[in-house]
Amino acid sequence: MSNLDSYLSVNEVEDSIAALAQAYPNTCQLIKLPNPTTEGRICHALNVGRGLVDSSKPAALFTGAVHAREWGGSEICVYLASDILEAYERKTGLRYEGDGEGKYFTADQIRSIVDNLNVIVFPCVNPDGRNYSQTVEPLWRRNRNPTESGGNPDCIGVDLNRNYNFLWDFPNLFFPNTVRTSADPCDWLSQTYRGSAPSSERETQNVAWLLDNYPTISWHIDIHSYSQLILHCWGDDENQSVDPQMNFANSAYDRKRGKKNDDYKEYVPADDLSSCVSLADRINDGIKAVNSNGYTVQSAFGLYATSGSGQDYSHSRHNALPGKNKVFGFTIEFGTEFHPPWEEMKSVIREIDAGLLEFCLAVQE
Amino acid sequence: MEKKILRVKIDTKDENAFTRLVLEEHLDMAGERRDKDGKIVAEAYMLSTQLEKLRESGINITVLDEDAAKTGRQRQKQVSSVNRFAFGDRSPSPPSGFGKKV
Repeated sequence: MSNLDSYLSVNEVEDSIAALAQAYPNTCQLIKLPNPTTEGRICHALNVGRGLVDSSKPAALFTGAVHAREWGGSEICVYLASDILEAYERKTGLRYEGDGEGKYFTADQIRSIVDNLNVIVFPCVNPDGRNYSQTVEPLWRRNRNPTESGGNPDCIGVDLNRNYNFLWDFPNLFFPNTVRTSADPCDWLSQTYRGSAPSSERETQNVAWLLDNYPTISWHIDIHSYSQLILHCWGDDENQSVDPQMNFANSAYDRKRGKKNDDYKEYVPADDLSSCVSLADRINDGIKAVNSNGYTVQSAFGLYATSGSGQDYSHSRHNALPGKNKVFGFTIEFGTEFHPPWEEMKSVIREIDAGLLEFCLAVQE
Repeated sequence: MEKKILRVKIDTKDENAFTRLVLEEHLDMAGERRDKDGKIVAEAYMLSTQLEKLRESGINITVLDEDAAKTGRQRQKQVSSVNRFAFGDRSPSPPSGFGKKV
């Protein structure tokens, strides 16, 4: 059976990266995450590169399957890693084809990625949720933590992309009725329950652990579906580069965040914003070469206000926590549905992997 | 009883009304874009009772899938039922991606 006939099951996601680690021991390393899920699953990430011990080399973190029904993020990560490793081993380039002109990465470019960068893929952040979506309820979004459910199956689970420790306490930090997060575990309609506390969930803690333990991580791309978007900071409000005091950590602005076209806007240094936009554009360059329509680049807030997102958490840490490395956070919303038909998903994998490789070249410049 | 979920497309230029409806009706939002002229085009997953309320609000709604869960169950058949990378007596072949090695 070909590897490429179908979506990966959760066991396959784990075993596929273990198989890569075994096949390419000199150019990748398996990383065991410390927090088992509610259903007892142990998660792994895979570093593609010469090793994270070398602190002179920056690292990029790509996460997939945070939301249970957004299956393809795992495939995007696994097949990106396998492409890089196989091409490096065989000393070839990589070509991605689609309805665009196609995108070719030379053998030298592949070598530069492996030799100069560490690419950490964490393909399945939420394996309990993914498994439930793939075997029971296809539209499930959350994890499967029953702690706050009171025994009601509709009340199981937390939206992990509202659980990170960034403006988590939205009722007290945002303008009323602006942010799309719920404080009710039984809000099964919207499926945006934030959890019982910031970073309460083991899955969220695993992503934070990677950022804590690999301080060379300078970029985090969180892969979701859908809408064909590439999102950069910030997600809580519009951006401004004028007033550093107007920021997420300043309590003087509590209950003012999240409203469009008002006085509050989230501070980001002009150079940082320029870097974010430039890198997002480069991802899109790679995508457009394969999918001629390309994606839309915008701030996450341009979509709607969010609290507790992984992208914003990553980017906030160097300001919120002493001594933390600066991380530029992005979200890719791939495709035109949560889990496209597999034939269509193969095309999506090609376009996103091309975008991510272009990103890996861009960060070296 | 399994809930019947509709996949719908919403388009409107009224940002405030749209945001209010999303929050008040606890909509499960999916794809969402804003055109350059300010029009919001979004997709959501909802019960038929929610759809009725939205139609009463005057927002333009098109049903894209009358039974999105059924469509999802069809996609579940496209998930591997075997473990192609299981470690047993022999080490598995590693996965091979979609880029052509040239």
